[in-house]
Amino acid sequence: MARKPAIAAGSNMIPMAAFVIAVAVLYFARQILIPFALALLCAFLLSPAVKRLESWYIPRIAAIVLVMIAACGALGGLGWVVTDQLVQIINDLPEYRENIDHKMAAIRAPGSLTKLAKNVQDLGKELTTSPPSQPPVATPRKPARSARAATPVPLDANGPLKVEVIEPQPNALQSLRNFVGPLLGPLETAGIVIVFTLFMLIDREDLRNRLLSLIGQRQLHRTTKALDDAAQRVSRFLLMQFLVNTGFGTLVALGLYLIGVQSFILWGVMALFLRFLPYVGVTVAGLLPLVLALATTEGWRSPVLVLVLFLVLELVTGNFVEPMVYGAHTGLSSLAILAAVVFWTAIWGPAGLILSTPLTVCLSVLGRYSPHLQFLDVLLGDEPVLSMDALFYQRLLALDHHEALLVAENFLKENSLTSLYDQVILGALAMAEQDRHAGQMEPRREEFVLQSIREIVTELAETDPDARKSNRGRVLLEPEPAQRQEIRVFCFTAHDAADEIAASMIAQVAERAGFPALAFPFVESPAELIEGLAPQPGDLVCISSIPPLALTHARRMAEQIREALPQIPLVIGLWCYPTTSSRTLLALQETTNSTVVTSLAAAVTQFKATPVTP
Amino acid sequence: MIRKEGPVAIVALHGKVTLGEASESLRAVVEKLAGEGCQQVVLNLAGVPFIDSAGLGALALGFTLLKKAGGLLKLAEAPPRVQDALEMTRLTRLFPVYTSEKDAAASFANVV
Repeated sequence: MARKPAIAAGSNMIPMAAFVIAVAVLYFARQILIPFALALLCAFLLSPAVKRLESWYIPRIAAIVLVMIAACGALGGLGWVVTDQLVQIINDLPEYRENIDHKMAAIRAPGSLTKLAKNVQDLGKELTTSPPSQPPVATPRKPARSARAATPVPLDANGPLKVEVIEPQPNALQSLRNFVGPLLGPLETAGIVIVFTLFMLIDREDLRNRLLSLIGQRQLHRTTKALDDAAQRVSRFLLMQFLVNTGFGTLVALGLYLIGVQSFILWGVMALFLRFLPYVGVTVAGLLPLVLALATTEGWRSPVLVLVLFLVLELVTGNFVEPMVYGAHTGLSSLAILAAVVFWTAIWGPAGLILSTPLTVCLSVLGRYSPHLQFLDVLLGDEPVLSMDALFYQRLLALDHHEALLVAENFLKENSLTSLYDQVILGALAMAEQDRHAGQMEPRREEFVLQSIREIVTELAETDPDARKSNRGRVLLEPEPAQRQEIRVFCFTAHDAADEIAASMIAQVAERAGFPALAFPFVESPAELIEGLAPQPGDLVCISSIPPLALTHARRMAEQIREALPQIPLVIGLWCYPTTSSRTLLALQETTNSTVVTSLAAAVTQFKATPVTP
Repeated sequence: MIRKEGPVAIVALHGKVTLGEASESLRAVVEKLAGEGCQQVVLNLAGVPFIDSAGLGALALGFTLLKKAGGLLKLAEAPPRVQDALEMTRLTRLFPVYTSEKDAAASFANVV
């Protein structure tokens, strides 16, 4: 008996172990993976240009070489200009020495804040200093031979001997090594990235085919879709980010020009490129002109304006422009992007920062198309994880009528009332019925759910945008004029309260389609009621039933009606019924001489197709 | 609100008659009157601004219930919107709608 939990715990450990192994591989193989991932990103960026050149009948190799030369040239040129400007600014800095000294003096001037800081510092010192103790008796040591030879240094009796290490002047070779050494690593990575990118662009179809073959031909459809999706989302993301950053950089340059900061074009261009680094880039991009404004301008006006400019632009771009533009293009939630930045930077450093969003997009796509990795899509994606009907039902279960109504109203903004009923409310009713039949719903909650849905259905019927347009609130779309007055729809409840609400919904939808409708609660003898209503040729009956016992209840009522009224057109609505069991539905149609539908939209189509028999 | 004028029970309805409590209580009132043996019932709809398909269903159900018990249901003072709904569903052919409560009550005497 004790084995089952052990097995369950073991199966839970497998994904965790896989995750740990994956992170370890990413970390320890970063020397290979980083250039590969950067090359992939570059290939994504450059491949549209290569394809365009190929479409002009330029051979692939030539097109790739041209694009690579153009890209490297653009980057190199830009780097040259930026470096040149930076060097110029650094050379000019001594001229602003006086200005910088003034500002530093103003900062150091004793003010209330400075005093407070000093007091806190003193208090800290007192708290951390150990109480004075008797100094140990120092035994004078015999100085070493080297010390004896050197110039005598005045010594504190108990203090340590201060030693200054003076490095010898480097020779020419050492200077070159010191200068080139730190650049070798990035240059090496850049070289590998260029080579990888070249080969990826040359063999892109071959690489894709190999990947497809690796995953297996049985998964061909899914893999193709995943690859297309990933490529499309990453390309769109890069394009959108480039456009957003271009706008950002232009506004930065314009703002800095108006403020009067030197080299405003340089800062605009830097802002454009640095903003590709999430969160960190914009800080660096803002810091440089801020320091320059502090150094070169008198007073505090310009630095403050620079700070405000970057803050406002970043807040507007980050909170309004990017969510609007990227939301639809990357499919990642903002939280996922932030978490991705932290994760990839932690394991891959600055390269991880650049690659974080595209890599996370790929992971999210992987989760979307691989059932085993679906959790990735749920965690990283921005699509609602609960379907609309589940969300609506969940809010009702939480006894939150207001939010459930909001869900419905928001859905109605872009959908018809019929869609709302079909896709949201009937689904929620079916879930409520499932829970009730499974004994999982306490009576208080059940009553709340049903009452709320009743109120929402009644309320929405009156606030539907179409209803407002119509005369006196009753919408009659224009069907065949002959049908409009002739056919009435009698909507019957198959069994319980949920079925009754559904009957009211189909009656509302039928009215909007031009059919006068009556909705009835559950009655023992429906045929008797219909006969009492003096049905005329063409009038039809619709039975509403919601799973899980939809079929049983609907069949019973349909048989009663059919027995008494063999001619009346009969539509059986098994709302939300799984359409896979079509054999069962066909049997029901045959035995009751009726038409079975599973959605309100289909029911209305059926009403319209019903002939008006003389 | 139910009041009796001789053998006629006059029920004044107030508020929207829609799915849920309103249509359920209408049905319950008619059932109660039928159970008490009251065979002449007038529903005064002057206070009903709106009636939906469930409300119309409750009216029709009340009508058949009373008819089964040997009684008759009549309507009075329906506002235009309610009158439209009754006409569209052809319920006016089952129970006539009178312009005043008095006329509706008097019509029972004519029938008798």
